[in-house]
Amino acid sequence: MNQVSLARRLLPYPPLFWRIARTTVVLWAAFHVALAVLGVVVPAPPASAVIVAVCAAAVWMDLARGDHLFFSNLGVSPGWSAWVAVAVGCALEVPLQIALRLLIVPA
Amino acid sequence: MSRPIFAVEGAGKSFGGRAVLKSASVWAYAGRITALFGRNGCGKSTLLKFGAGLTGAEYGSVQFAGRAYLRARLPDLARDGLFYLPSEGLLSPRMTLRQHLHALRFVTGGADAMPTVERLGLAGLLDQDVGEFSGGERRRAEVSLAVARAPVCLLADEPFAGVSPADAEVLGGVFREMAGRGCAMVITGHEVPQLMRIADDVVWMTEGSTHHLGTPAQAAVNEQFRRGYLGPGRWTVARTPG
Repeated sequence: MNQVSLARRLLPYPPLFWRIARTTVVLWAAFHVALAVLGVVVPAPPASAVIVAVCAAAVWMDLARGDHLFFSNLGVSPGWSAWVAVAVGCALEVPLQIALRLLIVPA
Repeated sequence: MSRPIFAVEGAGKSFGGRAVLKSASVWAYAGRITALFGRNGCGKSTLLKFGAGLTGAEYGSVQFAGRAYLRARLPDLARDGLFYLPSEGLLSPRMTLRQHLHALRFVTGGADAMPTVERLGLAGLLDQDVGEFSGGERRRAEVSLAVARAPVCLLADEPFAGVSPADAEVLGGVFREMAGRGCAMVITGHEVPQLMRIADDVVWMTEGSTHHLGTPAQAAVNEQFRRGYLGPGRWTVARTPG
């Protein structure tokens, strides 16, 4: 009866995934540039977590604002977009933290 | 009549101390259209939103595809084949109609909507930003998405609102064809002649409660319904072939 498969539930619509990833990258980069301007080049782990959380919340709101009803009708919840943003944010933030600590902190 | 595919049972909800729903119930059966009538503000949209998992209720339950929910969520219901057509705001303003149809088909593997798109006069608008659509075009586009989804159950909130009589006639035919393919439907609206023509069952909502009036022919001669909603005019029910 045309049920949505598990694969489609995990990655329902690639263009939406890429849009969420792109928004997350832009937000994440903007936060880091802003922090660097303020003199915080190596943010402490709590600040990193806040950056990722704010990116996820912004992405969630972005989907909830215009696309929520359409994608909900496809079985995609706005919560899915937040988890994608968290995953993308962590994939950016963790390597950056490691790199910054290896390169800058010892110096 | 067989068991309903979709049911909202005994829903109760208040806004600021005012009871909007009072033990309201509605059922949808495979291949049948249920018309939900009622004055503005009587709770029709709230009942559909509760059924679609977009708002909670103080009491009542939703049943769909063999599952019972105290607090349903639209994405969960949608995965089992429910489609909710709101009175407005279904379309994403950042996508064209073609992108909507592509996303829908990609995710759900629904039906080919192109014949319906052409029939609804939307073929020339496929690549236009939906934010530029007129109210009537948007409504027709939303219905084309509902057709493309090929849902098990469709909840449509005022699908004929803002649509020209000629387009409403086409939409009515499209809904009957969906019912003919087995879709269970609940449709709200004030377009009595239109809805009476396509409906199999009539539910009247007044002061937050629902009254199941039977077939359109039975509803048309119900004294309370006539006095409280239809008004003094004569209502005859002619059936739209589906």
